[in-house]
Amino acid sequence: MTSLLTVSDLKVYFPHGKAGMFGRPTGYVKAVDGVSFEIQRGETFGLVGESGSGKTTLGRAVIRALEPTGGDITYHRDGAAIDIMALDRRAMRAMWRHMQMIFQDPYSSLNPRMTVRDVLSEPLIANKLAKGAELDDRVIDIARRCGLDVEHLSRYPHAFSGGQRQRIAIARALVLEPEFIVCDEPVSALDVSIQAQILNLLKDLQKQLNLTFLFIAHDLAAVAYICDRVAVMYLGQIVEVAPTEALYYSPKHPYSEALMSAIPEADPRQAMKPLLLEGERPSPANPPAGCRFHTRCRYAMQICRESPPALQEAGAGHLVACHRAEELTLKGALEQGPP
Amino acid sequence: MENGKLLDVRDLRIVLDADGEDVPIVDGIDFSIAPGKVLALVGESGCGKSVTSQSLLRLLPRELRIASGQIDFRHPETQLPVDLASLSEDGKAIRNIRGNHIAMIFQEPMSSFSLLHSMGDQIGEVIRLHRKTSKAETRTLVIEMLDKVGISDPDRAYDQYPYEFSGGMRQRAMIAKALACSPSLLIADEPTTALDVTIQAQILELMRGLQGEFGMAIMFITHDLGVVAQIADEVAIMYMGRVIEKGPVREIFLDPKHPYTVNLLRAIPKLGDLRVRRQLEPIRGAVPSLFERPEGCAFHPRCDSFMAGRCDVQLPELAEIAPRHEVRCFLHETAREGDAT
Amino acid sequence: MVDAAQSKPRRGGRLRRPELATQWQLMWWKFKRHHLALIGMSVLAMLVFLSVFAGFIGPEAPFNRNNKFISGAPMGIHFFDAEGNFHMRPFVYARTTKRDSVTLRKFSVVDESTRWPLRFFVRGASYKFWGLIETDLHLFGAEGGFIHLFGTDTLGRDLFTRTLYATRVSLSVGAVGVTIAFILGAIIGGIAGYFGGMIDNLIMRLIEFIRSIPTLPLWLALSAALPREWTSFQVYLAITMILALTGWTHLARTVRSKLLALREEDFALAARLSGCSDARVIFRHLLPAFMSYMIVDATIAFPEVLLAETSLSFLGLGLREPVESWGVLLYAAQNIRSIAHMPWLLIPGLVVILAVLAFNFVGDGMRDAADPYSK
Repeated sequence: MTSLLTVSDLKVYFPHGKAGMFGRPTGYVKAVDGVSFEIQRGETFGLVGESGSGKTTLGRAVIRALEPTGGDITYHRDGAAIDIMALDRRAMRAMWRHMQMIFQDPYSSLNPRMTVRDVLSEPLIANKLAKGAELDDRVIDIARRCGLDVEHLSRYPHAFSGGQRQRIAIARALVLEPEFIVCDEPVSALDVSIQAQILNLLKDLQKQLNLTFLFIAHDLAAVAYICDRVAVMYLGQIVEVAPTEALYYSPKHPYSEALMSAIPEADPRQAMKPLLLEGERPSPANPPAGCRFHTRCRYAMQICRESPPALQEAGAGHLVACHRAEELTLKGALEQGPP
Repeated sequence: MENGKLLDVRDLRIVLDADGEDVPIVDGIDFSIAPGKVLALVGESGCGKSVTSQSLLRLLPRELRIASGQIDFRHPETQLPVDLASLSEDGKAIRNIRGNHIAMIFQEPMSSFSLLHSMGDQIGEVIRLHRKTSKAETRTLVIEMLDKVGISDPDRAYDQYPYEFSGGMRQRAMIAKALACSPSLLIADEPTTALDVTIQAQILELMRGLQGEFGMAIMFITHDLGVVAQIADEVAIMYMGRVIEKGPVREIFLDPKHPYTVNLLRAIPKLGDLRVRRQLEPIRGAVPSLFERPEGCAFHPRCDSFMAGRCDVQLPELAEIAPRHEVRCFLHETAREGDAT
Repeated sequence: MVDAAQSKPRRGGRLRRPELATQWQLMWWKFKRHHLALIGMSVLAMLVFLSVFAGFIGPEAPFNRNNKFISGAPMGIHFFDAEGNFHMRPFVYARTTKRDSVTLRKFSVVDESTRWPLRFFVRGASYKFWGLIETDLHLFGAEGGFIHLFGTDTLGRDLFTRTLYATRVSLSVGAVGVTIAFILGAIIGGIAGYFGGMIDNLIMRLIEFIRSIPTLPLWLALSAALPREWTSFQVYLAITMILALTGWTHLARTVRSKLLALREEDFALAARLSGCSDARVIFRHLLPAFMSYMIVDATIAFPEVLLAETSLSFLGLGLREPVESWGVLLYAAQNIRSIAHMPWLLIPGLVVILAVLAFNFVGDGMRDAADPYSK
């Protein structure tokens, strides 16, 4: 497996508060505060976390859909390592032919005043990649792949259901034939029975078109279904990265343990025994000193209050940021461990 | 009304007034809740579960109204059934019940609190409306309640304003407000849908604990089958305004009968399947618009076991195929006689 | 395969295809349900029509004086004569001039013995149609005499014809003023909203400054500063500019706030990710999203400009004769004597009310229809 995207010490800070006549910020919300990870070509890399974790911000920052405050992003293509942060606006626009995004809300991510055909044609037109008959062919092809009919192309988004709109959004993201797609909660706003359609569509398209996904979600069961590896974020930092089964069944970070134990399984025989976290989630504008999780951690010790742990290897492909990772044995989801 | 039932809804029909036309939103549903039990009302968008919950306390918006049916509630004071559907929407009778004997909590806690009054005042208001307590007594009761729902430093919280609370705490405060008068029935309309999973776990634990302590029944509305499996005693599955299957939670999850239920359970990702990498099986198509309700069984356009000439013509009845397990489907109506299908 | 797209309800048997409807069609359908707005729209259409064909519809040439009918009251149209006979062709009674024996003033008297029947497409006083084509064809006239539907003023000028020409002037001042304010507001508000930050800050402070100046004294001061030697056309342009320069702020704020909100919307971000340049994002994606709001704003700004111009001219500080707007016409009705003896001089005021009401109804209807996609 080769690396597709390498992120190193990425930071995204938002100014907040207004002071003075011209509204100078009084502080910063550190939505993403020093995140490093690698995504391999062809994999589906999951990113989970709760509100305030910064996962959505990270997803947008990684393709510079919003401007990071600091750090490095390296994109590997055709053997070359491209420094994403160094690109100017025009070069970035060209880069977006290879990196795209699917949004959470199928209602606000499509311009209601454009027909489906317009929506799908626009990326090709804006990038001057095709016109005329070739343009039509490519549009029809991608629409079909996403489960849309030709007769849908002349309609406006308001005529479609949530699931269909999401298909249109996926088709739009794919029409430029990108390699890497950031999926920002692509199924959260959909009905349960439709989520499966879209998840399966994404899996199929990945195989057909050799795609790499960064899959951001808060539904841990959906993430388990579709992702190869998963990273857990808490308060702007990655606390654990592991292959899916390893993370779910043998988490090594106390926060991951709490998350896994809180997943309500759709099986009345599996009674949930959640490990409830104490206290409240701190504000991202004012994170705790030392390990950010220590205020809610049942295993916290003095060192946790003093120094922030680094993200380190704790097994094959398993990274965790916890001082006590070696000594703790944590419970996995459904209380199952490796066979 | 059957003995032993706290709430008994029979043939409830709710319609939407669309430019003079009456469009059925809830098309004849039956269900009941026993005292102290949790009934989960489950369905996807358009099934009418939220509208049903609003109708119980006569809180429907102007465009919707109860067209027919009965909502029998065993009034704790008289132990006699009261038909909530027949009460006047703004009358004394229903107001005596709201907040007092039947309480409701919602998905978005911020919208159920006033921004201008302190938390303590708002919760206290419920108590003072229904009980003759002095200001000091009310304050004590409110602080007790805030403590019971797990809000730390309830004394201070009493004087704080809702915007000073975090999401999870607001949800707890909403529960405190709902339970302030010890209602016998709590209607919870998607109370954890907007919450993080760890907070959801806390709230569910809280509700289970309080339910046991207060001995109250809960009508839990949600689309999340995981939550249903964890919290419900009985389940009623709704599709396009009708109950298509209902029964004890184990029966529904382990032995579902209606094709919609069966497919729904196969379409959701489960952690238990992680190891075996089971493929999700989506239900084809989508829920039709309420203005274009299919004839006969509303699910038939999406059903793999569709029987032409039957399912698209007639509406099947709810039939009991196992103790307390009822299904609305032609595939199972012969089981009424007791044969297994 | 995916199911067919869901179509919206078909009501009343009308076969519409909402899934194929453009934004403008959806807006129109919504607008049509607002009955007052439709009435308002018809009234406005009628006013525009009347103003375009003012010369043709008005029976007189605008500055003709009718010495035989000075300060004359509106002449009524009759179908039944004094004896109760019905005539197919409507007519007006003749007017003769008599002199009062005491004051020696001339006054008009109705002569019921003579009828002046109405004829259509008559040849009358000559005028220039829009200043280009010389003609003397009028829509109607009284055979053998004259007809003054709104009466005449102290110089014997037909108020009806003058009102029609005044409609042209008032509406055009409004239209031009609103258009200029529109463009100014859209550009300035657009810059503030799209770029944000310090630029936005500065522009907002500027807008607040302008808005804090009381308008009426400002207008009065500006128009009093206009040199007396300027031609009426120059004055016309200047008044229009004055009204526009103070009126753009409201629209600028609307545009700015909409842009600030919209540029964060997912579809705007998706457009950027698709490779659209900033210009394309603004014009193809953001602008259409609030174009409907801008049009509503413009429709509502129109009556404000109308009333402003009418007020200024009424006070003698706006347009002046020979350019005539409703306000200029009302200027003549300023004193008690006029109102007491010639109350019909206030009829242009009724026309103003009618126009402003019509604009308001249309604006209401448009506001309701403004965003067919809002949830």
